[in-house]
Amino acid sequence: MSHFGLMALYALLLSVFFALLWKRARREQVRLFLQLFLGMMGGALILAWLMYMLPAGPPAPIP
Amino acid sequence: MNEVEGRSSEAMPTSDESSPQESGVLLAVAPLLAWLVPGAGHFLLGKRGRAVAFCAIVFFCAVIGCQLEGRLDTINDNDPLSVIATLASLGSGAIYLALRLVVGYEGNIVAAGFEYGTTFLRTAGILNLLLVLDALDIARGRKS
Repeated sequence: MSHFGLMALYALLLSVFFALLWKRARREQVRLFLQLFLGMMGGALILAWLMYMLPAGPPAPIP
Repeated sequence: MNEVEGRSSEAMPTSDESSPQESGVLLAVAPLLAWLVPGAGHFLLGKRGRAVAFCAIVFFCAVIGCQLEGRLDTINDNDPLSVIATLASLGSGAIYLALRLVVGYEGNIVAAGFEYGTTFLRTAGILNLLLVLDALDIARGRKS
């Protein structure tokens, strides 16, 4: 799975978890799920674009 | 005091039916069971739908972590932060113990998904610790 896919899966699992943990009504759960999921995905994409503008460093060493 | 008791009875209507001894046992057993098996505390407290969902999420996180060959943390003398990481991973209860003691799983540092896998394994533990606190709150009648 790609890095993006893993990030999306991670965001999905956490969003479902916290929506179930913190809210009881179905409507509130869906609302919180969307807020968390879109917040995490959107935040990560914005951060990625901001980092894209920075100069690239040396390649990471392979362990 | 009265307010607390009032909230307690509102949040947990069955508490009136159970004796103080039963409540005390539930208070001790639910968090312990919640730590050992993800979702089991909620199941014991009658929140069965949520229990199944929580169990599936924590197990899924751990399975993905293992698939990606992430590290299952242990305490390293040279790294004080490894204590925190180990406590986080240990939060997954039986999953950690089974992987460490039965399967002998450690992770593979040269695997492509090592860092991601480690994150998923630690997350499984931390989420389960949150479930322990939630089960404790439900058992005390602070939450429904």
